[in-house]
Order: sequence, then C-alpha cells, then structure tokens
Amino acid sequence: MDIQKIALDLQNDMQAAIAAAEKLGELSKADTEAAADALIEKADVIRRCENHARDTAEDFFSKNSAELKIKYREEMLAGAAQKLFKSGKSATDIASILGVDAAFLEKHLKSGFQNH
Amino acid sequence: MHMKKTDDPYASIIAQMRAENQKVIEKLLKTARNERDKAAAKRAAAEAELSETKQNAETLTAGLTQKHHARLEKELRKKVAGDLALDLLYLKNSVSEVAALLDLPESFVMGIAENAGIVRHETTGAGAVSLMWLEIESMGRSGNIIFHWDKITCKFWWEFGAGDALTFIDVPGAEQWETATGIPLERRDIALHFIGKKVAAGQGFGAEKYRLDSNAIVILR
Repeated sequence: MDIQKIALDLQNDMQAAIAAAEKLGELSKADTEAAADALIEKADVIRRCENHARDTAEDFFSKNSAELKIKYREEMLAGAAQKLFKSGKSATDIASILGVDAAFLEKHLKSGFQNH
Repeated sequence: MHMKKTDDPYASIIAQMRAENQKVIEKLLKTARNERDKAAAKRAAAEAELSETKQNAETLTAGLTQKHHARLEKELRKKVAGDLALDLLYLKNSVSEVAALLDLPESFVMGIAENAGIVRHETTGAGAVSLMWLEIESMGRSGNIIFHWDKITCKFWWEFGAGDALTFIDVPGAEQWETATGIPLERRDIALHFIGKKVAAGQGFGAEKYRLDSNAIVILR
C-alpha cells in the first residue's frame, strides 16, 4: 500500500472540497451583495415616489391655498348656519352670530328659509 | 502472509480515515451549499420586491400623494377652523358656543383664544367662565382701551403721563362702575388687573408695573 499516495489523495480531496466551498462562499457573498443592492434600490424608488407625492400635494395646496381657505371657511360657516337655523334662530340672529351677510344665508339656507 | 497481516490494520484505518474525510467534506459542502441557497433565495426575493416596486411605482405615488393631500387638507382645515373660531369669539360668542357651532373641541377653541391674548376667567365656585380681551386704539399720545368681557364691550380713555407714570387709563370708580360698564362690581378688580397687566406688559416694562387708583390704572415705568 502506497501510504504517501493515500495521504496525497486525502489532501487533494480536502483541498478540492475547500475550493468548492470557497467558490460557494463567493457566490453567496455576491448574492448577498446583490440582494442588498436591490433593497437599497427599492428604498430609493420608494423615496422618489414619496418625494414626488409630497411635492405634488404641497404644490397643489400652495397654488390653491387662498381658494381652499375660502371654501373650507364657507363650508364651516354653512354648517354652523344650518345648526343655528335648525335650533330656531332667525336669519338676523344667524347673521349676527356668524358675522355673515344676507347673501351668504340665502345661498346656504335658501330652501330652509323658504320652508320655514 | 506476514506482510498481509501487517497491511490489514492499515487498510482498515485508511478506509476509516477516507470515510471520515468524506463525511467532513460532505458536511463542509452541504453547509456551503445551504448558505449559498439562502443567499440566492434572498437575492431572488429582493429582486422580486424591487421589480414589483418599480412596476407599482405609479400606484404607490398616487397613494402617497393622496396621503399627503389628506394631511395637508387636514392641516389647512385646522388652520381655517382656528381663524374662524377666533373671529366668532371676537363676535362675542362663548368658547362652548363656538366649539359646538364648528364641531371643535372646547380645548382647541380655548387654545386659539389664549394664543390671541384672550384670557379665561372662571368665577370660583360658580363655575361661570368669562373671556376677557382688549384692543388698544392709539391717536398719538392718547386713545382708547377697548375692553371685552364676554358680550360686554367698554371703552376706557388712555393718555401718556409724565415721570414714573407712563400711561393713565381712566376707569369708572366703584360707585359708577356697574352703570358705566355693565360689568358686575365684584368683577371690577379682576377686569382692572387684567387691563393693567396687559397694557404694562405691552409697554415692555413688565406685567406687574402698574397701580390701581380709584379712577385710573397707572402704568409705571
């Protein structure tokens, strides 16, 4: 029996296995890095979407702020006028409580006053 | 025969070494393959997520835009509600009336009032809550203090003084107070201290730098 040959065979087998494991390790590393890159890119895409969405919404509110303020205020006043009207207040009282004019009341309570 | 007897034990040991060597190699490779498989699966999952995100970017942006839109609308509505609440308070509606009319929490309306310098006064024991605020009209070296106590509004004349007396504010004496202002006499001191503190603080000499005389509030340097 050639002991030297056997020892070399064992060594070769082990070296080949280590080389194969190292190769697999390199592939794993490449996959891990690629996965991390993909997740970073995904986060980037989401961030771009988020920025674009925020800019779009802010731009809209910046451009329409004045009109929206009037609209929201009118909605709140109309709601308050309806409440006062339902509680039995007169048009004069409502105008005085809310600081609105007859045209506003006519616009928002017209049908109510007609039926009152 | 002698040699064969000697070889057999080596052959057995070598066979055992080979088998163990093989086991170690298999274990090593199995572990490496497992790790590789896991990494490959993570990569595939991450790439799939990226691809899905890219494909849905438009929908994602639309959803996020809606979210920001809702947030900004809520902020703007809150601002408008605050401004309107203050206007309604200045129209002499009470905090609770304004809160009920505009569907707002009373604490929010009170916060708006306080930010605008309106002060809440609660009569001890009675549970009555009053709002006080004032405006200052200036006509050079004199003018009016317009004092609001709930639905009551009264004007007090002021003019600059001399020496340590920076400003004099004429107020009705105790005897004429109720007739002149419509505010109950027991609230006179509360009203005068409120005016004194506010005006003194507004002059920049400290909120405590005033004196109450029988017919005047004197703001001191």
